[in-house]
Amino acid sequence: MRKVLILLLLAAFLPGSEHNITVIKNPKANIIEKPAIPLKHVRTIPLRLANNVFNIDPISATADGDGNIYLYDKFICQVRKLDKNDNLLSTIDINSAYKSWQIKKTRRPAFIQYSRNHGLYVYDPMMTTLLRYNKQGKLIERFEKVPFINRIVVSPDGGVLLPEFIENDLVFKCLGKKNVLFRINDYKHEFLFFKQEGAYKFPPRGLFLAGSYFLYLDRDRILIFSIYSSRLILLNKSENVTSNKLLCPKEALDSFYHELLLRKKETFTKVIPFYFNPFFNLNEKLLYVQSRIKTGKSTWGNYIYVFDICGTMNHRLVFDDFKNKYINFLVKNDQEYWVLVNKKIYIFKEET
Amino acid sequence: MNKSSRVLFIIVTALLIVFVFTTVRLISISRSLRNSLPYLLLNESIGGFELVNEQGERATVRISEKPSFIFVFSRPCSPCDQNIGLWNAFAEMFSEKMNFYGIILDEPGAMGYLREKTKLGFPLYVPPDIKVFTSTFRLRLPHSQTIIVSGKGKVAYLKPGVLTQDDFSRIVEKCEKY
Repeated sequence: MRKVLILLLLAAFLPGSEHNITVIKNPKANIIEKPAIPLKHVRTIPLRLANNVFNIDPISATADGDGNIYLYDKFICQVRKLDKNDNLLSTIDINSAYKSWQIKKTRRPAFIQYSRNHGLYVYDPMMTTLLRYNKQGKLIERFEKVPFINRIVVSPDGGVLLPEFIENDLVFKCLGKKNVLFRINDYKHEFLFFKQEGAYKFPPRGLFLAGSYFLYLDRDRILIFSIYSSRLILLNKSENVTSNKLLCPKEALDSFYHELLLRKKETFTKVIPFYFNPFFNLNEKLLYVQSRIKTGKSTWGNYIYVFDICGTMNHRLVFDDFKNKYINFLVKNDQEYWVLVNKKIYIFKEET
Repeated sequence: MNKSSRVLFIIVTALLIVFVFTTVRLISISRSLRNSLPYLLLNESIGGFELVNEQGERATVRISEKPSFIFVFSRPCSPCDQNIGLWNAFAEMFSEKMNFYGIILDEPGAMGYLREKTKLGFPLYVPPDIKVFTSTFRLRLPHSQTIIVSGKGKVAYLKPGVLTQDDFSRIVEKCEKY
């Protein structure tokens, strides 16, 4: 009896016993790298966009597919629409959606996403409000008390997809609707790439939002890419996972192992991702993911891997003269890559 | 001297004595009041002061000719963190026509840490004696201060704490005139 009690107590104190998160140990490289195409720095977005419009603290960006980029500036709570040549086309003041002066005075982060058929979506996590603007920058729809999301996924019908965990199942519902659109049974197996104790501190929904990129591929399919487990999952409406592939290039895996060894203590409190800043280009049907590759003892370079929806590597890009830089976001506009580093936006182009 | 002129003389002398005493008292009150104020005043003169740069060299700063930006900050300071992006923006916009002094009031070694972590775009200094510096600039710590000193060495703008959007526009407007 005493032994059973001791065992129960031990089990209660073991990390991870409260969450059913599975960790995958010792993954093997399964992708052979192709020669990298260099990305050359072309220009930097100026601090002053127009006479009295400044680009002080851009934190979120989205492209509209016509060559225009929308930038959200946290300092002034405005969305700025820029054309291909960084000319300011228009600004949308998010604060005008609120009445309180106190709200107007606070610098607030926001996530933005452009949908070709439904306009610009802005999610304000401090106010838990989702705003929808038309092409002319007019507020046309407003949703209050929206649970936290760090990316806005718009369905072909204009609904916003929200992930939720029901026990161990990951389900996706549209905002304001109760019916489940997509479901993955027992998603816990897809969580972690490899043992990192810090993961047990996060609730499953938080861990999924922090570490996963997902989008509506077409009416019946969604694509999920986990930056921790480096898995690409295709899911259709009839509750079937049509593909589930590990994307592990050898150099990225070696670099990741090295990073984990260096930051052994940190893995008990934090979770270190394998990839960063994923985004999907709907025109090309390609997934772009950034990775940091060690190039020396204390130096690392930034690479972009490009995969198709089946998980086959299409090509690989390397940022020229851009070592030891932490990239905050990455957006592709035609042939240009807009990269945010330390509050400045650098524009890169593929070298032909 | 008749009686009436003697009375007048006494009154005038008394008034003169009262005036001198009041003036002296007012001057001393104004000085002590000024010293007890929490911040510098607009148009107050800033003389030279000593600073130590990142290489450990001592330099006397004499504010003259070029207008200057002085950013005062320390490490455990949330307004300072919020202002860093704006300070970098000012440095990028006006570094040609203004001098920039990022003054760190923190323990030794903080300079390297701040340079590395916050990616500041202007030169950093530490005062040789923090106590003397804080009393000269009438600072309260940990605190962020943004000070603009005109070419004549007088305080042209001062803002303690977080800079707002209005402050930003005001500063840009002021500096563009220099």
